[in-house]
Amino acid sequence: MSEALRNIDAACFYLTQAYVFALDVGAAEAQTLHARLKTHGRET
Amino acid sequence: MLAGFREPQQSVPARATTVKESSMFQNGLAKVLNPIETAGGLPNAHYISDEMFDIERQNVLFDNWSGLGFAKDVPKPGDAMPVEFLGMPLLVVRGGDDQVRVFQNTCRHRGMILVSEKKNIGGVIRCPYHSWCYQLSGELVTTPHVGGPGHNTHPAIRRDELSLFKIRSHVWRDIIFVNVSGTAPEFADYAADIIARWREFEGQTLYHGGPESSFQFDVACNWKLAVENFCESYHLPWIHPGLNSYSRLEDHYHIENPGKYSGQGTVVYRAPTSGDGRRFPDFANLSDKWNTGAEYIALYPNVLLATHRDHAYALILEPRAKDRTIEHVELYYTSQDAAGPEYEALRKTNAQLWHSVLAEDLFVVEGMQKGRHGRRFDGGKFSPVMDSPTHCFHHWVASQLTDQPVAGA
Repeated sequence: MSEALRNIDAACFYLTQAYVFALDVGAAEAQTLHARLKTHGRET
Repeated sequence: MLAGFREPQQSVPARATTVKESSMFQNGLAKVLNPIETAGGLPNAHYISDEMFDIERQNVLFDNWSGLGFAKDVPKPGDAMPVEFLGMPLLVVRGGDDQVRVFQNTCRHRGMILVSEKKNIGGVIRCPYHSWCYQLSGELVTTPHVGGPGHNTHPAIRRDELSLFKIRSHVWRDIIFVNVSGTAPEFADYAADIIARWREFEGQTLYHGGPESSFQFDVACNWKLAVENFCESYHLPWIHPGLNSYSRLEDHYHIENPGKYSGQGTVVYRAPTSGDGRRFPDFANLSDKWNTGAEYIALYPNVLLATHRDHAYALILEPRAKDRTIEHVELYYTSQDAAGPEYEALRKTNAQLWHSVLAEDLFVVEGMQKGRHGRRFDGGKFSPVMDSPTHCFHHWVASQLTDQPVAGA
């Protein structure tokens, strides 16, 4: 379970990095990345 | 706008110590508030004292609508331009809605400068430190890893309370005005009188003349001396002999609106003409006054404006120090055509003319600055006939510092 959480944390870390860079350049992918982070409770 | 967003509460900075409370300056300022016949000018300290520069920064410049820059410098949505204004780091942004906004150029997290050089932002304003991201309209969008790696939220981090600090701003005649304190009247009220005076030009688009229509002067003087000089025509015969050859002292009239603006007008404006007799196209629907009339007005505190039938200019005085001012001059025309290639040579000639006229004033404002170090200089003596627009400005500055009402306002 803790390994699964660590995997989610790791995934969300990288999703966050991708989300920020997408926001930075105004890429449409930002919406999808935001939605994925939101499903994991990592964004509002 | 994000749902639930509310404008962050911004505390109004405490008013700096007023000079009224300082016995050191009281007597000199009291005399400025006299009628012109017995008035003296602002004491030396107002030009050479760091303490007074700081006091005026708050009470004269931050508390009123001051000129910051020009909207033409952020022409496209996403354009962002950092500007330092009297030591404050500000950021001018043209949003996706084409609105120009001014923010404090600091992240709400750790105060990092957000944008260091002029650029176009394709997405969000991203702080380079921890990547907190803001919309072009200032709302905080995301706070990466603020709750730990991969956790971008935290109960203590209320995004709706952490938008960029918005600085009150307004664009008029392409000039970006700011009221840093947030306490000035609405700009439409503040500038109502000059807008009414120049109502024939109101609503007519100003087209910037391009690179040759922009220039600057780096002047070794307090910014107020440039205002005072611009207001008066008294110096024309000696300082502007070329201009004076066709626009004489007797062709000029005073413009005084106590508490708001002052300056001068001429009744013998000559429109620039090319070798083949071509002139710039005029603004539309002007009355006959403007056939040979032109006006030059200092809108307090730091914006100098000129209008003619066929072009206009604005000069923003950027105070860099008690004894240093950058004069930013921009010339505008009446149409795309007038700002286009067909009139390029004439625009260049016109810009060179104004550059040379304004350059003629530099030695006098720098000379007056040096003169302020003369301890025996007592603020000087105004000619009741020739210096009234200048005294009008002095009186207004004094009123900002002593809480006295402006006479006649």
